[in-house]
Amino acid sequence: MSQPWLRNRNHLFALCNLRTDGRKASEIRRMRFQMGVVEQVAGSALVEMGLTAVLATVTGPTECLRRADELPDRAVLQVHFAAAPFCTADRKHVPTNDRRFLEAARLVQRALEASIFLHLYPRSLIQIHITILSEDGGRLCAAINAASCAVVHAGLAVKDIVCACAAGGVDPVLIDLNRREEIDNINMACAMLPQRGTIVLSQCEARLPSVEALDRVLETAMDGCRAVFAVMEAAIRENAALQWSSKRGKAIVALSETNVV
Amino acid sequence: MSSIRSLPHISIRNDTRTTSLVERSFVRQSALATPRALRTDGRSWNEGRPQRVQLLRSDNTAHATVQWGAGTRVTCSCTAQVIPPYPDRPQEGIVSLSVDASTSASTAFRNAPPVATTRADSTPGSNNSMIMDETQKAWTNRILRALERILLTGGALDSEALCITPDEWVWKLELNLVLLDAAGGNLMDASIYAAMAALRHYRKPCLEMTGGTPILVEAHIKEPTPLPLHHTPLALSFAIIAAEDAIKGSLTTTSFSANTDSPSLQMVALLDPTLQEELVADGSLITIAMNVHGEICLVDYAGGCEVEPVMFRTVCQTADQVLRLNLCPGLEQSLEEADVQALRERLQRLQLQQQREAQTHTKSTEMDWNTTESTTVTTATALDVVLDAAVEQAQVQAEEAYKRQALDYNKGHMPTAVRETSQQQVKQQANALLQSLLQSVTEEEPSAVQGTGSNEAVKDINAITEDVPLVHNEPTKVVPAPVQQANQTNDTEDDDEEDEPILLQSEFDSIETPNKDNKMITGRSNEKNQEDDEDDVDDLVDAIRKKKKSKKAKK
Repeated sequence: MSQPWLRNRNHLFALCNLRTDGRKASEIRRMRFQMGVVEQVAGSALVEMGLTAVLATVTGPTECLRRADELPDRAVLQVHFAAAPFCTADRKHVPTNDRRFLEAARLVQRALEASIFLHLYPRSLIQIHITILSEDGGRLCAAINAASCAVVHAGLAVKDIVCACAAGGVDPVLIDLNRREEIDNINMACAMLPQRGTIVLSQCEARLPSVEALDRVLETAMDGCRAVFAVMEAAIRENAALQWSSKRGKAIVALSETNVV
Repeated sequence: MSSIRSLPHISIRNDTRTTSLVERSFVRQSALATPRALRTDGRSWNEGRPQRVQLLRSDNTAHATVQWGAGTRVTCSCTAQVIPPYPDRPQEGIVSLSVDASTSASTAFRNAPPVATTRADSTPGSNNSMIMDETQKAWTNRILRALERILLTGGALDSEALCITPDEWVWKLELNLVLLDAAGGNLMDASIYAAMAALRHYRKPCLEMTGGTPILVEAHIKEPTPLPLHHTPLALSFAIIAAEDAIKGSLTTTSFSANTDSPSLQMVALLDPTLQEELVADGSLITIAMNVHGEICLVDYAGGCEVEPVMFRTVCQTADQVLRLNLCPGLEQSLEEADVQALRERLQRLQLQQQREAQTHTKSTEMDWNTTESTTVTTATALDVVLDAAVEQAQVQAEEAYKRQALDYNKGHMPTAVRETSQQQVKQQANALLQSLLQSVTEEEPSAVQGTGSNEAVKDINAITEDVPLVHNEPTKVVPAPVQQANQTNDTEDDDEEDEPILLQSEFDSIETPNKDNKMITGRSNEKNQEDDEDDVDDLVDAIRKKKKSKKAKK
């Protein structure tokens, strides 16, 4: 798992106050958004944050599978979370009702419920499927980013685009932790609506020394979310421009629709 | 049951977890009222409910039952065993948590297997018969995950400290939470409180390595030790209720500044929500777990409603205050009291065991009796409190038993069967007999040394109250000193009060209570002292019959 070339450079990084992958404390990883990767569904997005890749697809709004499930005044949002067996270094098949996945699914659902105008789609069902393709830390945040991107691609009405980012460490506070930094470190995942400035998800488990430390970490996470939003917004606009121009017959088709930062 | 399985799936909407529109609008509007939030139970927005915890401890387990406010009750039990570690984590102990939503907690809970963290989960045959409600599963899962994150990921419990021999033996700690009553809402806080209380109260037994296999040593041989808990985090939850326009959102809203003191969106956070407030809240609860040092151990906000950072900060600070001032000290106090109580009971048990052992090994000589007395006397100072409490308790029970018997017309005038005294007791009586005879001769009132009849009567008086030592007629010095004093004072009282003997011979259960057992044996032995020969049983029965006949003759 450890890469020899990186291992040799760690002490160099430490000298320059860089992290193990060469980033500064306040830099997020390279992000890449691809929208419309799956054809048959209403919306889809593939998000890469560093080496973490997550695919999300949105199906809906459709009729509820069971009439008893539907709500009369708003839509039901169902999220299904799964990880591909090849997502980690050792191949392992994790069953879909693993309690961590259940929890993650619930978190993504609640985070998106804060943003989607569910009352505009009464008695219907919106399904989001999230698949982790590659895991290198920050999978919940990547999942939320992917889901929100897919929701926008599906054309659902949203208040704002949900962006998520993780922050951690006490001093200095790091943004967007990768897998090595997540272990034994404070890791606060946070999702917000960047243009409205409100938090929709906040999860942290390791010990924070005080409420002030919580504040600091939260602030840093929110900055990270805004940085993610910058990238996501650009990707969405580009995708929208592409669709618009293809509708008018003037598209410039690239072989892959990507927005690389 | 098979017929139910073959029906198409019918999902019945639960009425306990849905609220009517009127209820919903009432609770929400009153919560959003300015200047003060109005809650249905009269609390203010940052006021929690009182809680009470009941702690029990026995040899390898600890139980904590938390009553949170009026409607929520959770119990947690903690136990441990020694097993080989998981192969991929040879240096770490295993903590297995499980949360069981009992169907007695709420009609919304279906019968489902507990959500657990053990790896070997599936039991054959359990898969097909359970209809697992998604909401219920998500709920119990949330509690389970929060607990797991607080304990393991957050580092409250050091799993490496649970390792005994790396690669060979580790402790497996099992924490089982059962949600007993969900009508009050806020199961999350109650569950975490119960789990922490059980963990703190639990004592790990000592180990004895016999031939490479560790064996748990019982608590009375070697003192068990507490768990390696670094700190005790407790949780508080807030329900978020936002104004309608904040949810529906106005599309022309401009961005909010994160630094204003008052939130622009109208919303309120209610500490420790009741079930109603939980159900009508937007989004999930904000749960914040902190320990007494002010360190935040868990922040869990699953979303569902947008929260401004200002509000978030306020919530955290409120949680900080309330936790440190109310919750943590409350738990510490309950734990201390329970600890003292457990220590007391343990001393009692030890003392009782000592005495029992002394009595079984006693030959019919005074020497042994004296040794017993000396051992008990040396520890008398430590046990005074214990014994006083025991004596009081015995008195109360004796009175109640007497009342019960006196009012029972069926048994009122019939002698109850006398238990066959065992050989051991006969020997005891012999021992005690020698001692007490010496003393009773010197100190006793002449009335006590009369003929058989009055002796029987006196004995019967003694026999009424089931706790024999209280009713001794003669002072008995053979028993440990403090008990004796109590007996003496009571004896004289009883003696004065009773005019006519009542022909009740009570059952002497030597297994009633441990502390009573001690006195019962000595009491019985004292009772028999009045007889000159050792065939007490038969004589007693005869005497009772005689007495009964005489009494009936009178009537």
